[in-house]
Amino acid sequence: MRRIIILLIVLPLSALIAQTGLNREPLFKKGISAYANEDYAKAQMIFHQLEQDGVSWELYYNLGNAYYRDGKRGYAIQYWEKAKLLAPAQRDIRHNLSVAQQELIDKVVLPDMFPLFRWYLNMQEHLPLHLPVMISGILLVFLTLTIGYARIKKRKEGIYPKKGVVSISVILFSLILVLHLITLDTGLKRQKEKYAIILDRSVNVLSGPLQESSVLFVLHEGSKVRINKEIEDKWANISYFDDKIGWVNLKSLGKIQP
Amino acid sequence: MVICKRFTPVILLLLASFSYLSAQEVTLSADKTKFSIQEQVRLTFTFTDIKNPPRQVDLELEEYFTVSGGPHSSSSYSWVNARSTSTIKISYDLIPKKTGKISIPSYTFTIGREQYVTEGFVLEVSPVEIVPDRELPLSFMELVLPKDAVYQGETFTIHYYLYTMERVVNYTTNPVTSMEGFIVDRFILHNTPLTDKKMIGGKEYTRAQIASLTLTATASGEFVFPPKTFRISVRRTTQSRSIWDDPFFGGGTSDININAPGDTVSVFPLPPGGGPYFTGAIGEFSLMTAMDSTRIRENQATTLRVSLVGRGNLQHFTFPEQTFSREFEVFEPRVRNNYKLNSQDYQGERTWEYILIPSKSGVYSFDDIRFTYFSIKDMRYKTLYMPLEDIHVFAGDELKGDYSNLSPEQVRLLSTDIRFLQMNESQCVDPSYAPLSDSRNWFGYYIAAILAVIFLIADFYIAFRNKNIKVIRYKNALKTAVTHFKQISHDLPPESILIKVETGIRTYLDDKQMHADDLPAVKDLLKTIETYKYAPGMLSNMQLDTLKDKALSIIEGIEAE
Repeated sequence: MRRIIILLIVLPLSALIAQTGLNREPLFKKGISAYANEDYAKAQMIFHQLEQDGVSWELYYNLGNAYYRDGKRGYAIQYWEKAKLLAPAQRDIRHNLSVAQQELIDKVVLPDMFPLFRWYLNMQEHLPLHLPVMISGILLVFLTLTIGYARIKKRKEGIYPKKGVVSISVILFSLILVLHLITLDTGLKRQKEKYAIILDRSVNVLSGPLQESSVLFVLHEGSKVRINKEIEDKWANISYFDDKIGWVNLKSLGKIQP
Repeated sequence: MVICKRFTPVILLLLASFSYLSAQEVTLSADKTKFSIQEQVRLTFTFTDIKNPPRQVDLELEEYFTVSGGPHSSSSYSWVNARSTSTIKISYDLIPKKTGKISIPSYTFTIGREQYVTEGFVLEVSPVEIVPDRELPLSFMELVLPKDAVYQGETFTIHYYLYTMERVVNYTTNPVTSMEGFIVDRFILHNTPLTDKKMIGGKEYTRAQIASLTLTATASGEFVFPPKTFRISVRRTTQSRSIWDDPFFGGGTSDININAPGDTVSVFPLPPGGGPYFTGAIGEFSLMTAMDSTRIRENQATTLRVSLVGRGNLQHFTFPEQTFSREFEVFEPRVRNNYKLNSQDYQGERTWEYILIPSKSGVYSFDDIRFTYFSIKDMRYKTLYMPLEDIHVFAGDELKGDYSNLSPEQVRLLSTDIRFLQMNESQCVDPSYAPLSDSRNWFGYYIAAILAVIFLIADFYIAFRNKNIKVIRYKNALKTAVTHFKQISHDLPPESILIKVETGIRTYLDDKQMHADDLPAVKDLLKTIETYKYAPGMLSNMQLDTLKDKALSIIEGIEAE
C-alpha cells in the first residue's frame, strides 16, 4: 500500500519535471553558448523561443544581456525590468540596470524625500511579494498555536496563562497586520501601475493621440515611463516622473508587465 | 577778480578736504564723573571717520580701577547732506579701587600716518553712596540696543534685562508679533536666562537677559520701541509669622508688573550704488560655486550650485538673477537653506541650485557669478565674483569612452560592466505569473487554518467533557477499572496491591454512582481487604490474584446487571 502511495506521488512529479526542465535545459544552454560566441541575434531568438513555453527571471535576465550586447539598450532594460518583477531582490539584475541607466540620455534629479518614505519606496521596489506573505503565514501559525494553547489551558485548568501570552499574541498580530498592509500596498501598486520602456533612439511625446499633434517633449531610448491609458492598441498616454504627460505611439514602447 | 574766479574751485576743494580732515577725531568720555566706590563707571573711546581703529585700548589704570567688562564695541553710520560719517565706539566698565579724585590721562593713537590724542579729565570717587537706599527699586528692567542706528534691511537683536535683588521664580510678557517699520523675525522669552552680578548704587543686583527680540528694518526714519510690561513672580517672606497666614513659614509668591523702558533707534536708508547684483543682502558673506559636470551630452542636465556662507539678513533676500547662454535651458533655482538665527542675526549657508540643459553641442563660457552685499563692518558695498568653468557639450555618442567627469559610483559601475548570464533556470512560470495567486506562498495560512480547526475541535471536546463528566465516567467505568487492574503486578509489595485493588473498586463505584453498603459482595470484598491489611506479609501471590480476580468478577457482575 505504501509503495503505491509513493508511486502515486513520484510519478506525476517526475512527469512535471520532465515537462518543465528537461526539454528547456538543452535549449537554454544553446542560448548561452550562442551568447558566448557573440552571436547575440541567435541567443535572442533561442531565448524568445523558450519564452513561449514559460518564463523565469534568469531567462529574462539573459535576454536583457543579449540585447545589451547587441546595442539595443531599450530592449535590454525592458527585459531586465521584467526579470526584476519576478525576482526583485536579485542583485545581478539591479547591477545591470544601474549600468544601463548610467548611459541613458534622459536623466532626472529627483527632489529629496523624507528618509523613512524613501526607505519604504526603496524597500517596496526590491521586495519579493511572496516574502511578506510567507513570513506572515509562519507568524500566523505561531499566533494560532499561542492562542490555541491559551484556550485549551483555560478549558482544562480554568485560568488563562500569564501576561506573556497576551504580549506575544499582540506582537504577532501587529507584525502580521503590518506585513499584510505592506503586501496589499505593494501588490496593488504593481498591479495598478503599468510601466514601459522607450525602445526607439528618440521619441516625440505628443500633446494628443494624433500624428499631427504638437511635440511636448522628447524622450530617448531606455527611459522608463508609466502607461496611464491606451487607445485602439495604437496610442498610449504616458507620464514621465509624474510631471510630464503626453501621447506616444505604442510601437515605440516595450511593456514591462504582460 | 579774474584770479579769484580761477582759484574758486581750488579753494572750495581745499575747504572740503579741510572739513573732511577736521571730522576725523578720537574722543574719550565717561558716563559719569561723580560716583561712589561701589558703583561702576563706563569709559568710551569714540573714533569718528577713522578706518581700522584699534579693537582694544591699553588703559593702564590698574592702580585705580578693576576692569569689570569690555572692550565693548559698537558702530554707527550716518549720511547727512551728502556726507557720510562713521563712528566706532570702544568702551570699558570700571570699578574704582580707591576714593578721591582720579585723573584719567590723555591717550595717543597712531593710525596710518595720523596721530590722534584724547583729552584727559578727572573722576571723583566718593567713599559713601551717593544715591540713598530708598531710591533704589528691588527690581527693574532695562532695554539694550546693540547700536543706536541701523540700516534699512539690516537684521539685529535687542535684549531685555531684568535687574533684581529678589528671588524671581517666573516671568511672562505678551510676545511681540508686529512692529511698525520692522519685520519681527523672532521674539523669545528665555527659559534659562544668562545672568551676572552688577553693582548699582552700592547694591548688588542679579542681572538676567530674560527676553530678546530680533528685527529686520523695512523702512528708514526714527522708530520708537515702546515701553514693555513684564509680569514677574517673586518669592517673598511674609512679615507676620502667624501659623494661620503662613503655616510653613516659607513666604508666598507675589506677582509684580515691571515696565522695561522704551528707546529710539534710527534706521538709515542704504547709500546709493548697490548695482545690479545687489538684492538687499546686508552682513558679511563669502561666495562659492560648484558644477556637477563640465563635460556633458546634448540635452543632458548639469547642476550649478551657488552657495552664500556668512551672517546677516540671510533670510530676507534672493540671489541676483544670473544670465546664461541662450543654448541652455535654465530652470528656476531650487533653494536649500542651512542657517539659523543666533543671538544677533542669521548665520549659516544658503544654496541656489540651477539645472542647466544644453540643446546644442559646443564649448560654452559663462560670465562670472556676481553677488553684491552691504558690508556692515566696512560700511560699503562689496561685490563677490566667482568664475565658472567652460562647459563642453558633446553631440550624440561623441562622449562615449570619456569618463573624466563621472562620479566614483558611476566610474565603478562602468568599469565593472554588466554581469554575465545566468547558467541555470530556478523556477519556470507562466508569463502572467502573480506571486499572490501562487497557492504555495500561502502554505503557512493553510497550516494555521488546520491548527485553528484542531484547536477548535479540542476546545469543544474539552468543553463537552467538562459539562458531561458524570455520564462519561459512568460509561467508561468498566474500561477504567479493567485498565487499573491490569496495571497491578506481582512486582509490587502486597500492601500496595491491596490498596490498588481497593482503589479500583471504589473508583468504579464512584463512576457508577453506587455505594458499597448497597452491594453485599463488594462489602464482603472490602472487609476481606481490610483483614488482609493487618498482615500483608503473610499473603501469597495466589491469594492476591484470587482477590484481584474476585474484584473483577464482581465489577463484571454489576455491569451485566
